[in-house]
Amino acid sequence: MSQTDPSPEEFAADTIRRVRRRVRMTWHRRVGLVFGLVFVLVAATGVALNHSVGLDLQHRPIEADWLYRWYGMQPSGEPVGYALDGGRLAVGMAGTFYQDDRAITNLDDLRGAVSLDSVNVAAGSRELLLFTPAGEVVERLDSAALPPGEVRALALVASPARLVVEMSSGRYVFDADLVGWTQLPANTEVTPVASVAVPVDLRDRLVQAYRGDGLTVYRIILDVHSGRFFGPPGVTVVDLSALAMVFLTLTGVWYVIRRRQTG
Amino acid sequence: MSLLRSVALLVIGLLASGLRADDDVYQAPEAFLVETFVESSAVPEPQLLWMTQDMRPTVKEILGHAYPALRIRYWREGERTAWILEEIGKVKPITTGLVVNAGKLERVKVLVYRESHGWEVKHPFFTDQFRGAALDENKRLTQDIDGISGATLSVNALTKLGRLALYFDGQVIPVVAAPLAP
Repeated sequence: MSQTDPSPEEFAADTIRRVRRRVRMTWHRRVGLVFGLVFVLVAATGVALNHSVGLDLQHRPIEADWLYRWYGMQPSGEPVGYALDGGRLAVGMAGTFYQDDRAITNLDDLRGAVSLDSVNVAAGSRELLLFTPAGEVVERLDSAALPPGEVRALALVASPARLVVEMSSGRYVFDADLVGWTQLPANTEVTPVASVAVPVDLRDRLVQAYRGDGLTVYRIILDVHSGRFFGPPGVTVVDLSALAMVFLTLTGVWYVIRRRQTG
Repeated sequence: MSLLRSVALLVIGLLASGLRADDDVYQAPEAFLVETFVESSAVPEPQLLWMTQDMRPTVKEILGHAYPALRIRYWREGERTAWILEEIGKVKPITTGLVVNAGKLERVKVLVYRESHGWEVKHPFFTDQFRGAALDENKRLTQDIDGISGATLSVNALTKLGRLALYFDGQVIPVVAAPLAP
C-alpha cells in the first residue's frame, strides 16, 4: 500500500459520496425528463401571454369544433326537428328544446312534437312538455303523469283530435285536457309524426347560441399555461412541475458547487 | 423507464377521477305517490291547479322568480294533497315530493337530486323538520328549519318548495277560518 492510497475508511466514505451523488444526478435527470414537456409548454405559453395585447390574442376567436367539444361547448349530435302549426319548428339539440331559435327549456332526446288545438306537445325520452304557441311552458309530464315505460314517439288520431303517445309498454291516447290516458288496442293503426330536416341557417344559429361568447386564443393559451385545459389533473401536473423546477434548481446548484469543490 | 410508466398511470388516474355520476334518483315520482297513498285502494286521479294572475305575485314572492309552468298537477284525497315540485338549488332542479294534510306539511322527500353538492338535504334528519309546518300570514313556515353547512342553497330550495306546496294546497283546499267565540 503506497502513502497516497486512501485508508479503507476513506475509501468507504468516498464510495458512499459517489453513490449519493450518482443517485442525486439520476433523479435530477429523471425529473427533468418527466417534466421537460410541461416546462416547455408553461414557458412558451407564458411568453405568449406576456405579449397577448400586442398579438391581440383576446380578440382572436377559435372555430375548431374539437376545442368546443373539449370545453363542452359543442352540442353533441345533430339537431332534431318536428313541424308545428303556423310554420313553426320544434327543435331538440343537446338537451335543450327550442321553438324555432328560441330556447324554451331543457328536454332530453326529442322524440316527437305535435300541435293540438291550443297547445303544443313535445316528447323527450322520459317526459312530455306542454307549451303554448308563444313558447310558454304549460306543464311537464314526468313519470308520475305518464304511462309506464319510455317515450318512443308521438302521434295524433282524428275525430276528435287526440294525442297518442307510443311508450315502450304500448300505445296510449290522452284525454282532451292531457291529464288522463287509456291504452289503445294493439291493432290500432297510428302513424307516428316524422322528423323534418332542420334548416342549415337555423342549425348554425342554435350552435352559435349554444357556444355563447365562444373561445379565444387567449383563453386557450391561458388554460394550457395553468393546466386548466386538462381539467383538475392538469392543474396538479403544473403544480408538480413548479415543485420539480425548484428541485432541479437546488440539485443543479449543488452539483455545480460540488464539482468546483472537488476540482 | 418504469418511472415514466408510473407517471403516465398517475396522470390517467387523475384524468379518470374527473368523471362524475349522473342524476341521483332516490325515489321515482310514481313510487312516491304509491307510498303516499298506500292506505288507499289506488293513487287518486290527478287534478290540475292553474297558475292564475292572482297567484303569480305570491308565488314569485315565495320562489324569488316566476313558477316555470302554467298549471300544476296534484293528487288529492280528502284534505290530503300530494305535490311533485322542482326548484333549482344552485344550477340544477331538485325534484321533491311533498304531502300536505289539513294545511300542514306531513312529508317532504327529495326524489331526484342533480347538483354536485348539498345532497345531505335528502336525509330524514333534515326533511323531518318540515313535518307539522304551516304557513303564517306572511307566507312563511311556522317552524324554523335548521340549515346544513355546505348545503345552504339546497336547504333554501327545499324551504321554498315547502312554502309553495302549502300555498298551492291553500288554493285547492281553502283554509276555513275558525269561528269567533260568542
